[in-house]
Amino acid sequence: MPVPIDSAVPAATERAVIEPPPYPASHARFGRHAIPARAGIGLRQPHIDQVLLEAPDVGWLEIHSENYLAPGGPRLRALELVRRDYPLSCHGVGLSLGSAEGLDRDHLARLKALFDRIEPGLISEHVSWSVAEGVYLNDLLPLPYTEEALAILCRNIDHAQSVFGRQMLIENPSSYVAFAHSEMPEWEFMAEAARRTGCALLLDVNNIHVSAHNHAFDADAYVAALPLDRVEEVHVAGHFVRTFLDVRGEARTILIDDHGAQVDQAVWDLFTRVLARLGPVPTLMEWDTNVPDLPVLLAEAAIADRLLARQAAVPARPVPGVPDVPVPDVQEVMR
Amino acid sequence: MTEKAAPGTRGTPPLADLQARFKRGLLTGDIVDATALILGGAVEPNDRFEIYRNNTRASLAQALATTYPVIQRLVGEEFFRFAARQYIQIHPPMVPQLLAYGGEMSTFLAHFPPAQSVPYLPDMARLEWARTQSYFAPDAEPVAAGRLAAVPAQDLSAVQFGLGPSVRLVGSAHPVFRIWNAHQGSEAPSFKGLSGPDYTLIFRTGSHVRVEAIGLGLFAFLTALDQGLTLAEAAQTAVEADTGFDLQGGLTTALARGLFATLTPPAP
Repeated sequence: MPVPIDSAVPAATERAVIEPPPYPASHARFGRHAIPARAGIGLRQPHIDQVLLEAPDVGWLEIHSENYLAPGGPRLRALELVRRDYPLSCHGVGLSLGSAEGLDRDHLARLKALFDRIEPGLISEHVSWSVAEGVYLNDLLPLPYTEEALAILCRNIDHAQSVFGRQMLIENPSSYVAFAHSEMPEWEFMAEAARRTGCALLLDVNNIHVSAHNHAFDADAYVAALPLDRVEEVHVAGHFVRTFLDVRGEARTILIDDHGAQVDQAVWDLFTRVLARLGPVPTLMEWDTNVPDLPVLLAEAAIADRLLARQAAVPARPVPGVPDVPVPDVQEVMR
Repeated sequence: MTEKAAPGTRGTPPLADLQARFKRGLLTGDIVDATALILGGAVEPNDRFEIYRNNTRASLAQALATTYPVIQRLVGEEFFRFAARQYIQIHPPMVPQLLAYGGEMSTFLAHFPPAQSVPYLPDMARLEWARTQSYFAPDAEPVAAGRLAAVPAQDLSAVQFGLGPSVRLVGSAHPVFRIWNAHQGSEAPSFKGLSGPDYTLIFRTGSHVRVEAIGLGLFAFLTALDQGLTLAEAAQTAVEADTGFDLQGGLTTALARGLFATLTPPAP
């Protein structure tokens, strides 16, 4: 999906909720590895004041790191206040781990400074690319799944993890194109990158559903083929259906991963099957375009929380290739 | 069925070649080289690639519209989208944080032929860019008024002030502050019959960016201090620009707004 725009300067007439003093991150209530196995929400600018004022009961929050790479200002100060009360995860959208030209050292340094300042519980990025010939294209673009691309991805992950001094999570992408010269399936590419670099996985269930539809593969086979013991976070989000006419004039659909709606029932179903294998895991509700009022977002997160709570009562069997785990009744949980 | 051209056939490493082809296709619309690499299936490669192309162009145009809301209202959404497409091709983002994207808009508009009928657009772009820069500028403790009072009288004229990181000064021969101000409400703005010049002070206080009109004297005074001139030299410059400049009032305005980050007395 394109990276959402979150750069507006608020009008000076708005009521000031966030005022100094800045809060030192070292006083934060939560330790570094404290993202709970609950539902979290993506923290977006329109909700920050409300989150600070009302302190909603949500397990944790995730930001897009690039929205906070400013030298200073009210946004960073607000983030430090949020960090005092919530476990925080930093999700990158601009590092471009799949770029053949390697990583931007300045950008790595800016990210490191942000991580040092707010000490996130998790840091993650995408298995995709955004930068070519120095230009940032503001989208999470697909890689060909070749040995060459895998070697480049692993070199870049190694570079990032050595600068950050800690493990990253890498997220499976959603995509609309596949390449004729790919040499392996996406799950093998993901699994091999994790194995070679020691990074963890961020499993985006909506992305699996979207890509499975767009490239006609089986979502459950994808999940079964991954080393699930490396999954430390799950994402769920909404998507929409776009219709194209093929050469015979017949309607064909592509799922567009816009993070702009409630989670599709088929994605909740897949999420439930994933949880049955994985056990409870930090799960993020992402909503980036047509951002709704906070209560709508929290209600979606509450669905994930109910599914997680059910799963907590069922022994997890995180063994790939074992499908016969009891699956909770999703319909009942949704009521 | 067209022959699929393998990436890397021009001597470049395959992935670098693929990414260069995609970049060209996304920014310029020359998509043949990129779509040649894509599997079709139920949906054609061109249709699949267009999803990315629309994403890139629409999201970058939205980033520009977010930074330049008044420009967009002045020229209309359709013209803005048209201008943004040209801008994105000439000045694509070179850093991945979009809060830093769009700084060439003033220069771009000054040389964009379809925009020449609205001569104040480049200065309006400077004002709006200054506002974004101010919002994301580093934090700094302002110099308290008491610091100046503590300077011995004989040293006052040689004191130097450094402006805070969020302070921006935008001078224009056009009435850009008043036009900008007229666009802050939701109702249709009226700014007919205005003429320049306008001098605009932009600074951050607490969580907010303030935008204020100031006189030529104070504008010249602050600009001179920013260039490293002493208090006496800056006051002289301000009086030359505007004989009515009031040094006491100007200093009070600046200190009350916390515009100074440093105060340097002369070396003993």
